[in-house]
Amino acid sequence: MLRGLASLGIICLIGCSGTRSGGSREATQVNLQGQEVYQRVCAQCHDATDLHLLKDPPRLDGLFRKQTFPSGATASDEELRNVILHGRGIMPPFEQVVDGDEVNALIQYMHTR
Amino acid sequence: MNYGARYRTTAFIALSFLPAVLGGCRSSEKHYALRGRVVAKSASGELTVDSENIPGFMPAMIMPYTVKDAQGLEQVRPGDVITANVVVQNNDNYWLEHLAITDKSGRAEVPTNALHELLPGDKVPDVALVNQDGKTIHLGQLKGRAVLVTFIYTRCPLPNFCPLISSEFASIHKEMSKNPDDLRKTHLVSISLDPSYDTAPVLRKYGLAYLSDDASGFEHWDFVSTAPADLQKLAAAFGLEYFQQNNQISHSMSTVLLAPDGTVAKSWPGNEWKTSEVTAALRQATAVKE
Repeated sequence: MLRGLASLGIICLIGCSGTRSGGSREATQVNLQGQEVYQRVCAQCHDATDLHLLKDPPRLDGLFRKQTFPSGATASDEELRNVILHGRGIMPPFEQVVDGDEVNALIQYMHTR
Repeated sequence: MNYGARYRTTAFIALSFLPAVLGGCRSSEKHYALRGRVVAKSASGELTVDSENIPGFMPAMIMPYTVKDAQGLEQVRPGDVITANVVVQNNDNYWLEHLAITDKSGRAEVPTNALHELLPGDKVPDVALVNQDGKTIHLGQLKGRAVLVTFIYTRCPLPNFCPLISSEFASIHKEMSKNPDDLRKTHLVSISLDPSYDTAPVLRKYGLAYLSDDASGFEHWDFVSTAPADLQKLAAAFGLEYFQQNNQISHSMSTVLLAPDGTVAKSWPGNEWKTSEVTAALRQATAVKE
């Protein structure tokens, strides 16, 4: 009967951020905020393993280590912002879910993930 | 941060998460204090609760509970803030006891749909629906076909709610598309719970995503919205509860098969139905009335 078995992803983050050399306190805080937004908004689909959706949401590790996103679009902050705010395919828009600061922090975090 | 309190993972993730949370717990029963808002109350007496974090049990989530408190269940309504004890037995069985309503002010936000258990032969309102092409249609004009109706909203961020239902409908559509006879005798309708946001262009974009960008699929599957007052009529008839909360829509789920004569043939609450079961019911419905 259980359909949504998923890695909630809420236990895997402690100690993952804020240790990069040269990072200011402010930058670390932004990264932590981005990490929190990721866990709250993104992880339940992109880290899940058993969603039964039409298409499996792509894993987002190392998103900016490639030239292109899983969609094939050129990797850029603006493309990521567009997808977050307006959705893509079966991914819903999150423009009414996250505010501008949260999106900025999330994009910054995705560069480090 | 406001959103932290309002954005919840789904009941079904919660159910799966339960054994992990309680791993190693072998005592027969554990008790946890719950506080949350009632999202829906099913005709069978199940409550769906948008709960706050339950220390030692699970993070804030929306999930369904059976209730072993007849008096409390009788009094509670969607929109109420409640406290209760969550009893977990043997790691895989759980329910609510000692229900108490702490705030009834939220009731006003919730449409007062009388709980309605759908029965075969029930009629449904034939309200005007505007589809993804901006065209007005009525369920009544689909008579002669077995029609599968469900409710979604396109912004729904919870993967085991609307995205799952739409994915299941996509599977059913794909299965029906294998046989021209099935395709001709059946129809799918997804009704938006968010008519102010889900305009025709939004519904079209959403529909195309689930139709793999094949617009011809709209001939078999309509994505529609309706006037808010008519949506309330439909929700009441289809045994559905919904209300807007913090810019999202909390809702129960109802998928209903209308026979070719336009009356209810079968219904499936929630999201645990199997596409194979629904597909078989669709074919059976068309076989009865030719």
